Amino acid sequence: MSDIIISFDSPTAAAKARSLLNKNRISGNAYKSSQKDCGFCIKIPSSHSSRAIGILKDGRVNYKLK
Amino acid sequence: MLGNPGRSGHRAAVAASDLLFSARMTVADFFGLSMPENVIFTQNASHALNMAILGAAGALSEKRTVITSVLEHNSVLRPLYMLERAGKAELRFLTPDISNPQATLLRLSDLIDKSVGLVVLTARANTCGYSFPIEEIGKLLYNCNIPFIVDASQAAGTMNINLEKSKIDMLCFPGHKSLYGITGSGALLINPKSKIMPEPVFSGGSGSLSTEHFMPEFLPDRLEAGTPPLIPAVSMAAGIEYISSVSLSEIAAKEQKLQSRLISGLSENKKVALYGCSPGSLVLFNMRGLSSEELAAKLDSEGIAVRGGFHCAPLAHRLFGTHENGAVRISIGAFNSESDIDSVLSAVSRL
Repeated sequence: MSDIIISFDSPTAAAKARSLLNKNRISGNAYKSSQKDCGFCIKIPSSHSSRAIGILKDGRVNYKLK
Repeated sequence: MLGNPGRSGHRAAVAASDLLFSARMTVADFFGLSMPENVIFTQNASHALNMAILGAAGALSEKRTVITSVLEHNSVLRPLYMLERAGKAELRFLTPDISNPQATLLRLSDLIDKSVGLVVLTARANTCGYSFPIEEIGKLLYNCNIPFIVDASQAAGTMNINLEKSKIDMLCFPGHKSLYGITGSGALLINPKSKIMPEPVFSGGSGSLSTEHFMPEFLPDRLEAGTPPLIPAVSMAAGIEYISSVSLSEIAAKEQKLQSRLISGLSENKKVALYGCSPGSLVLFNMRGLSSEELAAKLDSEGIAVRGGFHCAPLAHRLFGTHENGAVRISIGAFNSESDIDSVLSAVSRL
Protein backbone atom coordinates (compact mmCIF):
# COMPACT_ATOMS: atom_id res chain seq x y z
CA MET A 1 0.00 0.00 0.00
CA SER A 2 1.31 3.48 -0.76
CA ASP A 3 1.22 6.51 1.48
CA ILE A 4 -2.37 7.45 2.19
CA ILE A 5 -4.09 10.74 2.82
CA ILE A 6 -7.02 10.65 5.16
CA SER A 7 -9.40 13.59 5.29
CA PHE A 8 -12.05 14.52 7.81
CA ASP A 9 -15.11 16.71 7.58
CA SER A 10 -14.80 17.62 11.23
CA PRO A 11 -11.75 19.14 12.94
CA THR A 12 -12.70 17.11 16.01
CA ALA A 13 -12.59 13.89 14.01
CA ALA A 14 -9.13 14.88 12.80
CA ALA A 15 -8.02 15.56 16.37
CA LYS A 16 -9.44 12.21 17.49
CA ALA A 17 -7.59 10.48 14.69
CA ARG A 18 -4.30 12.15 15.62
CA SER A 19 -4.85 11.21 19.24
CA LEU A 20 -5.52 7.55 18.42
CA LEU A 21 -2.65 7.29 15.98
CA ASN A 22 -0.21 8.94 18.39
CA LYS A 23 -1.33 6.59 21.14
CA ASN A 24 -0.59 3.69 18.80
CA ARG A 25 2.74 5.20 17.81
CA ILE A 26 1.91 6.00 14.24
CA SER A 27 3.29 9.33 13.19
CA GLY A 28 1.34 11.46 10.81
CA ASN A 29 1.76 14.89 9.39
CA ALA A 30 -1.13 17.28 9.43
CA TYR A 31 -1.01 19.63 6.50
CA LYS A 32 -3.20 22.19 4.93
CA SER A 33 -5.20 21.12 1.96
CA SER A 34 -5.69 23.77 -0.65
CA GLN A 35 -8.94 22.30 -1.87
CA LYS A 36 -11.13 22.33 1.20
CA ASP A 37 -11.28 23.71 4.68
CA CYS A 38 -7.90 23.37 6.17
CA GLY A 39 -6.05 21.28 8.68
CA PHE A 40 -8.23 18.23 8.44
CA CYS A 41 -5.98 15.86 6.59
CA ILE A 42 -3.40 13.37 7.78
CA LYS A 43 -0.80 11.72 5.64
CA ILE A 44 0.14 8.21 6.76
CA PRO A 45 3.29 6.50 5.54
CA SER A 46 2.71 3.29 3.59
CA SER A 47 4.43 1.24 6.28
CA HIS A 48 1.61 2.06 8.69
CA SER A 49 -1.36 2.64 6.44
CA SER A 50 -3.22 -0.67 6.99
CA ARG A 51 -2.81 -0.50 10.73
CA ALA A 52 -3.83 3.15 10.76
CA ILE A 53 -7.07 2.42 8.94
CA GLY A 54 -7.82 -0.34 11.45
CA ILE A 55 -7.20 2.02 14.36
CA LEU A 56 -9.51 4.65 12.93
CA LYS A 57 -12.25 2.10 12.30
CA ASP A 58 -11.97 0.65 15.81
CA GLY A 59 -12.05 4.18 17.22
CA ARG A 60 -15.22 4.96 15.27
CA VAL A 61 -13.60 7.95 13.59
CA ASN A 62 -15.40 9.43 10.58
CA TYR A 63 -12.86 9.71 7.82
CA LYS A 64 -12.47 9.58 4.06
CA LEU A 65 -9.57 8.29 2.01
CA LYS A 66 -8.47 10.95 -0.44
CA MET B 1 1.59 28.80 20.95
CA LEU B 2 -2.10 28.11 20.47
CA GLY B 3 -4.25 29.14 17.55
CA ASN B 4 -8.00 28.87 17.02
CA PRO B 5 -9.00 25.20 17.28
CA GLY B 6 -10.57 23.74 14.17
CA ARG B 7 -10.31 26.93 12.16
CA SER B 8 -7.00 26.53 10.36
CA GLY B 9 -4.36 24.01 9.40
CA HIS B 10 -1.29 25.76 10.75
CA ARG B 11 0.61 24.18 13.59
CA ALA B 12 -0.73 26.49 16.26
CA ALA B 13 -4.34 25.77 15.29
CA VAL B 14 -3.72 22.02 15.16
CA ALA B 15 -2.08 22.20 18.60
CA ALA B 16 -5.17 23.98 19.90
CA SER B 17 -7.42 21.35 18.32
CA ASP B 18 -5.46 18.59 19.99
CA LEU B 19 -5.64 20.35 23.36
CA LEU B 20 -9.39 20.80 23.02
CA PHE B 21 -9.82 17.15 22.07
CA SER B 22 -7.77 16.10 25.07
CA ALA B 23 -10.19 18.11 27.24
CA ARG B 24 -13.11 16.33 25.57
CA MET B 25 -11.57 12.96 26.42
CA THR B 26 -11.05 13.93 30.06
CA VAL B 27 -14.64 15.12 30.43
CA ALA B 28 -16.04 12.08 28.59
CA ASP B 29 -14.09 9.60 30.75
CA PHE B 30 -15.15 11.29 33.98
CA PHE B 31 -18.84 11.02 33.14
CA GLY B 32 -18.86 7.54 31.60
CA LEU B 33 -19.27 8.69 28.01
CA SER B 34 -17.57 6.48 25.43
CA MET B 35 -17.53 9.07 22.60
CA PRO B 36 -15.52 12.25 23.27
CA GLU B 37 -17.11 13.82 20.18
CA ASN B 38 -20.37 13.83 22.11
CA VAL B 39 -18.96 16.38 24.56
CA ILE B 40 -20.28 19.78 23.52
CA PHE B 41 -18.46 22.61 25.26
CA THR B 42 -20.61 25.50 26.42
CA GLN B 43 -20.07 28.63 28.47
CA ASN B 44 -22.09 27.40 31.48
CA ALA B 45 -24.94 25.07 32.46
CA SER B 46 -27.68 27.49 31.39
CA HIS B 47 -26.22 27.48 27.90
CA ALA B 48 -26.07 23.67 27.93
CA LEU B 49 -29.60 23.29 29.29
CA ASN B 50 -31.10 25.70 26.78
CA MET B 51 -29.45 23.73 23.99
CA ALA B 52 -30.65 20.43 25.43
CA ILE B 53 -34.22 21.45 26.28
CA LEU B 54 -34.98 23.72 23.32
CA GLY B 55 -33.07 21.38 21.03
CA ALA B 56 -35.03 18.36 22.22
CA ALA B 57 -38.30 20.23 21.82
CA GLY B 58 -37.26 21.15 18.32
CA ALA B 59 -36.75 17.49 17.54
CA LEU B 60 -40.19 16.47 18.78
CA SER B 61 -42.78 16.63 16.06
CA GLU B 62 -45.66 17.95 18.15
CA LYS B 63 -46.61 19.48 21.49
CA ARG B 64 -45.80 17.06 24.31
CA THR B 65 -45.95 16.94 28.08
CA VAL B 66 -42.66 17.64 29.83
CA ILE B 67 -42.10 16.47 33.38
CA THR B 68 -39.78 18.45 35.60
CA SER B 69 -39.57 19.07 39.35
CA VAL B 70 -40.26 21.75 41.93
CA LEU B 71 -36.58 21.77 42.89
CA GLU B 72 -35.31 22.98 39.50
CA HIS B 73 -33.15 26.01 38.79
CA ASN B 74 -34.39 28.71 36.41
CA SER B 75 -31.96 27.38 33.81
CA VAL B 76 -34.41 24.47 33.51
CA LEU B 77 -37.64 26.26 34.38
CA ARG B 78 -37.31 29.27 32.09
CA PRO B 79 -36.64 27.38 28.86
CA LEU B 80 -39.58 25.14 29.77
CA TYR B 81 -41.83 28.14 30.49
CA MET B 82 -40.82 29.54 27.09
CA LEU B 83 -41.89 26.29 25.45
CA GLU B 84 -45.14 26.33 27.39
CA ARG B 85 -45.87 29.93 26.40
CA ALA B 86 -45.17 29.09 22.76
CA GLY B 87 -47.68 26.25 22.94
CA LYS B 88 -44.99 23.61 22.41
CA ALA B 89 -45.14 21.91 25.79
CA GLU B 90 -47.43 21.25 28.71
CA LEU B 91 -45.57 21.10 32.03
CA ARG B 92 -46.08 18.62 34.82
CA PHE B 93 -44.22 19.03 38.13
CA LEU B 94 -42.80 16.29 40.32
CA THR B 95 -42.52 16.93 44.05
CA PRO B 96 -40.03 14.43 45.46
CA ASP B 97 -40.43 12.60 48.73
CA ILE B 98 -37.18 13.81 50.22
CA SER B 99 -36.99 10.98 52.76
CA ASN B 100 -37.92 8.13 50.41
CA PRO B 101 -36.42 7.63 46.91
CA GLN B 102 -38.79 4.79 46.12
CA ALA B 103 -41.75 7.02 46.83
CA THR B 104 -40.27 9.63 44.48
CA LEU B 105 -40.02 6.98 41.75
CA LEU B 106 -43.66 6.07 42.28
CA ARG B 107 -44.69 9.71 42.12
CA LEU B 108 -42.79 10.05 38.84
CA SER B 109 -44.41 6.91 37.45
CA ASP B 110 -47.82 8.34 38.30
CA LEU B 111 -47.05 11.41 36.20
CA ILE B 112 -46.08 9.42 33.11
CA ASP B 113 -48.59 8.76 30.35
CA LYS B 114 -48.50 8.61 26.55
CA SER B 115 -48.41 12.39 26.25
CA VAL B 116 -45.02 12.68 27.99
CA GLY B 117 -42.24 13.44 25.53
CA LEU B 118 -39.43 14.57 27.82
CA VAL B 119 -38.28 14.54 31.44
CA VAL B 120 -35.86 17.15 32.79
CA LEU B 121 -34.57 16.80 36.36
CA THR B 122 -31.75 18.03 38.50
CA ALA B 123 -29.36 15.39 39.80
CA ARG B 124 -28.85 17.44 42.98
CA ALA B 125 -30.92 20.49 43.96
CA ASN B 126 -28.89 23.69 44.24
CA THR B 127 -30.82 24.80 47.33
CA CYS B 128 -31.09 21.91 49.76
CA GLY B 129 -28.81 19.39 48.04
CA TYR B 130 -31.52 16.75 47.60
CA SER B 131 -30.44 14.11 45.07
CA PHE B 132 -32.98 12.48 42.80
CA PRO B 133 -32.39 8.73 42.29
CA ILE B 134 -31.01 9.42 38.82
CA GLU B 135 -29.91 5.92 37.96
CA GLU B 136 -33.30 4.40 38.80
CA ILE B 137 -35.08 7.20 36.97
CA GLY B 138 -32.87 6.69 33.92
CA LYS B 139 -33.82 3.03 33.79
CA LEU B 140 -37.51 3.79 34.26
CA LEU B 141 -37.49 6.32 31.42
CA TYR B 142 -35.43 4.02 29.20
CA ASN B 143 -38.14 1.40 29.57
CA CYS B 144 -40.77 4.03 28.76
CA ASN B 145 -38.72 5.34 25.80
CA ILE B 146 -38.85 8.88 27.18
CA PRO B 147 -35.81 11.14 26.67
CA PHE B 148 -34.14 12.19 29.92
CA ILE B 149 -32.19 15.40 30.42
CA VAL B 150 -30.26 15.84 33.68
CA ASP B 151 -29.07 19.12 35.16
CA ALA B 152 -25.87 18.13 36.96
CA SER B 153 -24.84 21.69 37.89
CA GLN B 154 -24.70 20.94 41.61
CA ALA B 155 -23.91 17.25 41.25
CA ALA B 156 -20.93 17.24 38.89
CA GLY B 157 -17.82 16.75 40.97
CA THR B 158 -19.75 15.91 44.15
CA MET B 159 -21.18 12.50 43.26
CA ASN B 160 -20.45 9.78 40.71
CA ILE B 161 -22.42 10.16 37.51
CA ASN B 162 -22.11 7.62 34.72
CA LEU B 163 -24.17 8.90 31.80
CA GLU B 164 -24.32 5.71 29.74
CA LYS B 165 -24.78 3.33 32.68
CA SER B 166 -27.58 5.52 34.10
CA LYS B 167 -29.23 5.78 30.66
CA ILE B 168 -29.22 9.56 30.78
CA ASP B 169 -29.76 10.98 27.30
CA MET B 170 -28.29 14.42 27.91
CA LEU B 171 -26.22 15.70 30.82
CA CYS B 172 -25.59 19.41 31.45
CA PHE B 173 -23.21 21.08 33.90
CA PRO B 174 -21.00 24.11 34.44
CA GLY B 175 -17.27 23.90 34.93
CA HIS B 176 -17.03 26.61 37.56
CA LYS B 177 -18.75 24.87 40.51
CA SER B 178 -17.45 21.58 41.85
CA LEU B 179 -15.36 20.83 38.78
CA TYR B 180 -13.11 23.75 39.77
CA GLY B 181 -12.85 25.22 36.28
CA ILE B 182 -13.07 28.92 35.51
CA THR B 183 -16.31 30.80 34.88
CA GLY B 184 -17.28 30.56 31.24
CA SER B 185 -16.93 26.76 31.16
CA GLY B 186 -19.56 24.08 30.88
CA ALA B 187 -20.68 21.16 28.78
CA LEU B 188 -23.59 19.27 27.31
CA LEU B 189 -22.96 15.53 26.99
CA ILE B 190 -25.05 13.44 24.62
CA ASN B 191 -25.45 9.70 25.05
CA PRO B 192 -24.44 7.86 21.83
CA LYS B 193 -27.70 5.95 22.29
CA SER B 194 -29.75 9.04 23.06
CA LYS B 195 -33.43 8.61 22.31
CA ILE B 196 -33.41 12.06 20.77
CA MET B 197 -30.85 14.20 18.92
CA PRO B 198 -31.41 17.87 19.76
CA GLU B 199 -31.88 20.32 16.92
CA PRO B 200 -29.25 23.07 16.89
CA VAL B 201 -30.32 26.14 18.85
CA PHE B 202 -27.35 28.17 17.62
CA SER B 203 -26.12 28.23 14.07
CA GLY B 204 -22.93 29.67 12.75
CA GLY B 205 -19.40 28.72 11.88
CA SER B 206 -18.43 25.18 12.74
CA GLY B 207 -15.10 25.02 10.91
CA SER B 208 -16.55 22.22 8.82
CA LEU B 209 -18.72 21.77 5.71
CA SER B 210 -18.64 25.52 5.25
CA THR B 211 -20.52 25.45 1.96
CA GLU B 212 -23.57 23.80 3.57
CA HIS B 213 -26.46 26.05 4.66
CA PHE B 214 -27.12 24.23 7.87
CA MET B 215 -25.08 22.96 10.81
CA PRO B 216 -23.44 19.57 10.17
CA GLU B 217 -25.19 16.42 11.30
CA PHE B 218 -22.19 15.05 13.17
CA LEU B 219 -21.11 15.97 16.70
CA PRO B 220 -19.72 18.09 18.18
CA ASP B 221 -19.91 20.44 15.19
CA ARG B 222 -23.71 20.22 15.00
CA LEU B 223 -24.05 21.88 18.40
CA GLU B 224 -20.87 23.97 18.67
CA ALA B 225 -21.44 27.08 16.61
CA GLY B 226 -18.66 29.62 16.76
CA THR B 227 -15.19 29.49 18.21
CA PRO B 228 -15.12 26.90 21.02
CA PRO B 229 -14.27 28.08 24.56
CA LEU B 230 -10.79 26.54 24.53
CA ILE B 231 -9.34 27.99 27.73
CA PRO B 232 -12.48 27.43 29.86
CA ALA B 233 -12.78 23.86 28.52
CA VAL B 234 -9.15 23.10 29.34
CA SER B 235 -9.60 24.62 32.80
CA MET B 236 -12.59 22.37 33.43
CA ALA B 237 -10.57 19.34 32.33
CA ALA B 238 -7.77 20.38 34.69
CA GLY B 239 -10.29 20.58 37.53
CA ILE B 240 -11.53 17.09 36.69
CA GLU B 241 -7.96 15.81 36.67
CA TYR B 242 -7.48 17.29 40.15
CA ILE B 243 -10.65 15.61 41.43
CA SER B 244 -9.56 12.29 39.94
CA SER B 245 -6.11 12.61 41.50
CA VAL B 246 -7.61 13.04 44.98
CA SER B 247 -10.66 10.82 44.31
CA LEU B 248 -14.19 12.08 44.08
CA SER B 249 -15.38 9.85 46.91
CA GLU B 250 -12.75 11.28 49.26
CA ILE B 251 -13.75 14.84 48.41
CA ALA B 252 -17.44 13.99 48.83
CA ALA B 253 -16.79 12.33 52.19
CA LYS B 254 -14.82 15.34 53.43
CA GLU B 255 -17.53 17.77 52.32
CA GLN B 256 -20.23 15.72 53.99
CA LYS B 257 -18.27 15.59 57.25
CA LEU B 258 -17.90 19.37 57.19
CA GLN B 259 -21.59 19.72 56.37
CA SER B 260 -22.50 17.58 59.39
CA ARG B 261 -20.28 19.73 61.62
CA LEU B 262 -21.98 22.87 60.34
CA ILE B 263 -25.52 21.51 60.67
CA SER B 264 -24.80 20.24 64.15
CA GLY B 265 -23.50 23.65 65.25
CA LEU B 266 -26.29 25.64 63.62
CA SER B 267 -28.93 23.34 65.12
CA GLU B 268 -27.86 24.46 68.60
CA ASN B 269 -28.68 28.08 67.79
CA LYS B 270 -32.33 28.75 68.64
CA LYS B 271 -32.51 31.64 66.21
CA VAL B 272 -31.54 29.44 63.24
CA ALA B 273 -33.98 27.62 60.97
CA LEU B 274 -32.55 24.90 58.71
CA TYR B 275 -34.25 23.70 55.54
CA GLY B 276 -34.15 20.18 54.13
CA CYS B 277 -30.38 19.72 54.20
CA SER B 278 -29.73 16.45 52.40
CA PRO B 279 -26.33 14.77 52.92
CA GLY B 280 -23.78 16.47 50.72
CA SER B 281 -22.20 19.89 50.64
CA LEU B 282 -25.04 22.41 51.02
CA VAL B 283 -26.66 23.99 54.04
CA LEU B 284 -29.73 26.22 53.67
CA PHE B 285 -30.78 28.34 56.65
CA ASN B 286 -32.18 31.57 58.00
CA MET B 287 -31.90 33.52 61.25
CA ARG B 288 -34.86 34.98 63.02
CA GLY B 289 -34.88 38.75 62.81
CA LEU B 290 -32.78 39.02 59.65
CA SER B 291 -33.66 38.84 55.98
CA SER B 292 -31.58 36.35 54.00
CA GLU B 293 -29.75 39.21 52.24
CA GLU B 294 -28.97 40.92 55.56
CA LEU B 295 -27.68 37.65 56.95
CA ALA B 296 -25.50 37.09 53.90
CA ALA B 297 -24.17 40.65 54.12
CA LYS B 298 -23.28 40.25 57.80
CA LEU B 299 -21.43 37.03 57.05
CA ASP B 300 -19.64 38.78 54.17
CA SER B 301 -18.41 41.43 56.60
CA GLU B 302 -16.79 38.57 58.53
CA GLY B 303 -15.07 37.33 55.38
CA ILE B 304 -17.57 34.52 54.78
CA ALA B 305 -18.92 34.31 51.21
CA VAL B 306 -22.41 32.82 51.00
CA ARG B 307 -25.50 33.44 48.89
CA GLY B 308 -28.76 34.87 50.20
CA GLY B 309 -32.03 35.07 48.30
CA PHE B 310 -33.81 32.62 46.05
CA HIS B 311 -30.87 30.94 44.27
CA CYS B 312 -32.75 31.09 40.96
CA ALA B 313 -34.97 28.30 42.32
CA PRO B 314 -38.32 29.92 43.17
CA LEU B 315 -40.37 26.72 43.32
CA ALA B 316 -37.92 25.12 45.74
CA HIS B 317 -38.25 28.07 48.09
CA ARG B 318 -42.02 27.81 47.87
CA LEU B 319 -41.69 24.16 48.90
CA PHE B 320 -39.54 25.10 51.91
CA GLY B 321 -41.83 27.98 52.88
CA THR B 322 -39.08 30.54 52.22
CA HIS B 323 -40.67 32.11 49.15
CA GLU B 324 -41.05 35.51 50.79
CA ASN B 325 -37.65 35.96 52.35
CA GLY B 326 -35.43 33.44 50.60
CA ALA B 327 -32.65 31.81 52.61
CA VAL B 328 -28.87 31.71 52.93
CA ARG B 329 -27.02 28.87 51.24
CA ILE B 330 -23.59 27.77 52.37
CA SER B 331 -21.78 25.64 49.82
CA ILE B 332 -18.84 23.59 51.06
CA GLY B 333 -16.04 22.67 48.68
CA ALA B 334 -12.92 20.56 48.46
CA PHE B 335 -10.74 23.34 49.81
CA ASN B 336 -12.81 24.14 52.90
CA SER B 337 -11.69 23.04 56.36
CA GLU B 338 -13.00 22.54 59.87
CA SER B 339 -11.70 25.97 60.83
CA ASP B 340 -13.82 27.49 58.03
CA ILE B 341 -16.88 25.78 59.49
CA ASP B 342 -15.99 26.94 63.00
CA SER B 343 -15.60 30.49 61.68
CA VAL B 344 -19.12 30.37 60.27
CA LEU B 345 -20.51 29.02 63.55
CA SER B 346 -18.69 31.68 65.52
CA ALA B 347 -19.94 34.46 63.23
CA VAL B 348 -23.53 33.21 63.38
CA SER B 349 -23.42 32.92 67.15
CA ARG B 350 -22.52 36.61 67.43
CA LEU B 351 -25.53 37.74 65.37
